[in-house]
Amino acid sequence: MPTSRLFRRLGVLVGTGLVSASLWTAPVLAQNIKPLRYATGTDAQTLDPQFVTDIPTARVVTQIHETLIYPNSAGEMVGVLAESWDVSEDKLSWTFHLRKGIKFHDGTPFNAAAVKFTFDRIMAKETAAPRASSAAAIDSVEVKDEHTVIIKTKSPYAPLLAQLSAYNLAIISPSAGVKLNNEYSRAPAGTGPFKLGKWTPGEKLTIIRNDEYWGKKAASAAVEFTVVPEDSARVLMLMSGEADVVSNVPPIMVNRLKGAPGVKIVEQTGYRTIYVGLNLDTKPFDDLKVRQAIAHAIDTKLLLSGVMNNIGTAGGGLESTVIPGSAKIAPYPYNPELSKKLLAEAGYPNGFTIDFYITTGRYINDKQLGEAIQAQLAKVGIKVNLQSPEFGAYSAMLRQKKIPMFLLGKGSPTGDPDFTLTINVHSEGTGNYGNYRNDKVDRLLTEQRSTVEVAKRNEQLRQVLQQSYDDVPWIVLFYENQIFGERENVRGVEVLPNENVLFVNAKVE
Amino acid sequence: MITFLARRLSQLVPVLVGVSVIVFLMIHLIPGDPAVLVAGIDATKEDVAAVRQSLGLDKPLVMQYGEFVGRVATGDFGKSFRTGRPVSEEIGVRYWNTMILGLSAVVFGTLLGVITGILTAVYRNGWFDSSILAVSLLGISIPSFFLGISLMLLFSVYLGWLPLTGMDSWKNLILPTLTLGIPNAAIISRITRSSLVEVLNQDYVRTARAKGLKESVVVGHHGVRNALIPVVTVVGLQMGYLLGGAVVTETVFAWPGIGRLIVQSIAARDFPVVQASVLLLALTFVMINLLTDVLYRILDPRIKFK
Amino acid sequence: MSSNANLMSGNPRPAPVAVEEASRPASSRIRQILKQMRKSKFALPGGAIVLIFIILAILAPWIAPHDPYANDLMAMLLPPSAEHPFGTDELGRDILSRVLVGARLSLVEGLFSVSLAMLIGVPTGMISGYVGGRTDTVIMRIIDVMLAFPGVLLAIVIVSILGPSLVNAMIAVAIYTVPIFARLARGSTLSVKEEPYIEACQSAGMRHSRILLRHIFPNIASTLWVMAALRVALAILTASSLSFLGLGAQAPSPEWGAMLAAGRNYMLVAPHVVIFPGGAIVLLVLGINLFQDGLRLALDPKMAER
Repeated sequence: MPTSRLFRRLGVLVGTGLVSASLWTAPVLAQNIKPLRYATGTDAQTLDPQFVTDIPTARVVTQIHETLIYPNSAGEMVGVLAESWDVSEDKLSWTFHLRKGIKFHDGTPFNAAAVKFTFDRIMAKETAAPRASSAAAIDSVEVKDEHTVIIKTKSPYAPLLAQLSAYNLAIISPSAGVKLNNEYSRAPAGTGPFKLGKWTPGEKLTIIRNDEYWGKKAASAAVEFTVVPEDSARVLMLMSGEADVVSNVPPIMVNRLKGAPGVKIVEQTGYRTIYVGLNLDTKPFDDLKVRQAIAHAIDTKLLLSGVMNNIGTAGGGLESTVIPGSAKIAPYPYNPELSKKLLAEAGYPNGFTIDFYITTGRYINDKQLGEAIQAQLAKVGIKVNLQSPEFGAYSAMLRQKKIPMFLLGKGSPTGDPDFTLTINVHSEGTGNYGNYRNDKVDRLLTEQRSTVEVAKRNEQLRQVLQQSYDDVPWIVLFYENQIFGERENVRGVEVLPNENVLFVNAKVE
Repeated sequence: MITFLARRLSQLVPVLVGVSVIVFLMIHLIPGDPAVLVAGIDATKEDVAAVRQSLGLDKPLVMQYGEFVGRVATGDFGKSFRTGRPVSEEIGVRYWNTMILGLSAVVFGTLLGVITGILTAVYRNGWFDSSILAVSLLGISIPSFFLGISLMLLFSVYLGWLPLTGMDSWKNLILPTLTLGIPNAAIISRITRSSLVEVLNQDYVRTARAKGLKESVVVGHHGVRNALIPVVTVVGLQMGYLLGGAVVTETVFAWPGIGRLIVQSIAARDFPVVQASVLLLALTFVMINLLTDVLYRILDPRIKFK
Repeated sequence: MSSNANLMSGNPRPAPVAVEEASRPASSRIRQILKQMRKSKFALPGGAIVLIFIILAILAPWIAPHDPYANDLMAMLLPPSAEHPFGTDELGRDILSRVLVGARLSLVEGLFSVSLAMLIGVPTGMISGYVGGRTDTVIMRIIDVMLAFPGVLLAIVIVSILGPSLVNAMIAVAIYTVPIFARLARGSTLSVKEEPYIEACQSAGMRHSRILLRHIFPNIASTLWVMAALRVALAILTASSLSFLGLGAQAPSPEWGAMLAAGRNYMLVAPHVVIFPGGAIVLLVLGINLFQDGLRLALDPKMAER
């Protein structure tokens, strides 16, 4: 290729970047509006709900879009875009009566056709949505009339309401969806209390109040999401008043910030479980006694009070006890003597050597937790070699299900255990990285899905959690709490247990 | 000179082709599946397969490379795996952000470094030399996050003179420039000093001195110019490193630059973004090196434009 | 240059300086070097610092006041005290003990990666600059390709492929430092090879390898040594950046770079976690640079004449 042409092309590459920065500025933010300034660690990847796979992105998308159903502060599923619903006798078809008089940000009316469009889009193979499986239980969506939609499931599906609250299933404007297709992210049109103002990827994103919002209008005229990756920098911004709200305050900063003038700390319990996984297909973890020995050798209480500065919730079951209806199971008590005894019975009186894989910087204090566990296991004679591959490599190794022992976190986008337990606990689950297999658990997991009666289903789920706790394929360390920092004059920021943040009622006084 | 430039520019093509092949191979050698990282680590096999297909990763490597080259030849760098946006949009603004910061740090570092370097060479082994040496070594050994956060604490939180992060005005540029520029100045200062001391000991400089020329003339006329060759090399190299290697500074000051973008894209196995950014940086380095070589020849006319 | 006369005679012989040195008994030569070193007031203190670090590194396991790996989650991030002179880290470990035990790793790491980079980079750059023409073009374009992965990015990719460990981090840091030495050596060689005495050597039929080794290298070495001494600090800091991504020395290794990386999050609440390992790096680098400066003065025949 002639050099000059190549040059021109590289010039174009750079040039389009400059021009396009301004293309992303759809509506211009009115002058003199002082937005609520929120500093977050990570930029949104997309504004298309069907392509969201991470929390920081979900936090933006859910200001702009709404789902049919969403949990209230108590975690109960209540109608948002759906006003009411009823389920058929055979539990296969759900009729949703939609709220009337709602418009998407692009002016398109919200109706049954929009709901159908949204679900058809995520389920379509051409869309290649990374979370297409969040609609996997749905067989079809039918428009009954303008404001009534019928969702049919392939088999009775108890967690449907919770599943409909997933951010991936937020309703999008069909006209924007058709017009922009896979460029929907450029001008997202949801029904939410905010619409997109300006987005400079990697730097700043502004959402502005939707004055035609059907519900209570947003308290602030605009909210500005600034990307500030360094934890310390975000804390300094809060202290200096350069930010009104900051996400993910490191636990170690909490005590210091509590004493700082003009600053307050918001702590919210969460759905994320931090656990140590053991691979049952590798020696010596094929032996239940060894796994029990590990469970008794890890002092989860001390990890929580020491490493985590008491920021987190103790528990033993894989699903966070914060999730409504989740079983309360106590963690394995710390007992190094019992641990040594169990090791001796299993034929390892002098312990053994094992590779323990940890993440670095993905979960709060993950490396520190790994090092502390290493020291605790050393006390019962287990020599741990820590390995911290970069996350891409780590995820590939995990999915091959070959890692003997690993530190991992598990969130829950909907708060319903079905979705995550099927992935993490079922013998066929892609997230069951330790090859845990228990026929009873598999059976219960299949049964609970079609058990529409809440109490009975909760009992089945409790048994799954209890059984998997007894089999010790993993040791739960704690459930992560979320820590936000706010200026004292900030009101109404809602941090939810599912890790979302709502800004609709937020304002600076 | 013209033929020299023309020949050097024509060498761009093999470099860019080489870079593209190596980048392509390297990122495919890194363990990890882009489709898994896009879909999420727990994603079902079906979701991952759908994503892989939509990203074109289900095709054989050779075909993927062929398609990549074919697209680039028509000026299309593809779309980011991570965000779905055209790669040119992902890179463009960040490249300029980094250029602004890099240039600013290099100018600051070079000025400070060359000036202190000359002064320490002239007044070598005195107290001034010693104190600059100590400061330089501190400047080069200090981790950039420590320098950056300390500067933020001092100038933003306590004194309130400068903003902490962002890119709203020229004031935002000061602290990251200092953070990047100080170690840079330290290196340039040391190299300038050593190179100038070397030159000042050359025979012709002694001759000049023996002729009774003033020391300032000796240093200024005979010394500095000849001593600048290694300095030019180092400044060129530093510029190169600052362009892609300012990751920590970009992170601390929330400066959306290309260094952090590449690190994130490597982590996310966002191949199109990595490929295009590295190609763009390769082009930049070649241009910087070309500039360096031209400067060599201007500074030392004996080096021929062969 | 004093060697010119001999070479002009048509009977290629090593430069007189080298002959003189080689023919002298070793003990008197060492005495000579020591005498020269005493002239530089920094060489001895510099050497002493480096020596102390080496001794501490060797003796660390016996003189460390605490077990560098022993956690105490009830005594985390304590400020310096009589019990813990450097305070404790994020797991309640004694930082003094960790800095001592880590000295061994960091010394080896800094010196090894810089030496490896010099060993590859300097000959490559010298040959490139000396031979010129097509060879120069090819070598420099390869270096351009390497530089296209700027800064720590090349190191990240290499460690990602090789798998994270201290050894791989050292190799990665070495590889990423190669272009610096290659370009620096080339730039200076370009200039030196135009000196009349080199042409004299060539016309006298001296072997190229000999010219490079005996006549060019001594003339470009001083800048290279300065750069090498400075790069030791940057090698440790680069390893620290890798550690921050989990790609450096694996936990709970008390390598200084890894300690810095871990301390990054605690800087605002417990700056001592960063200051002590950081201070150790500063001191070590100070020692190496002062010693390097003095040693060069002692070994360099041109300098000795001053």
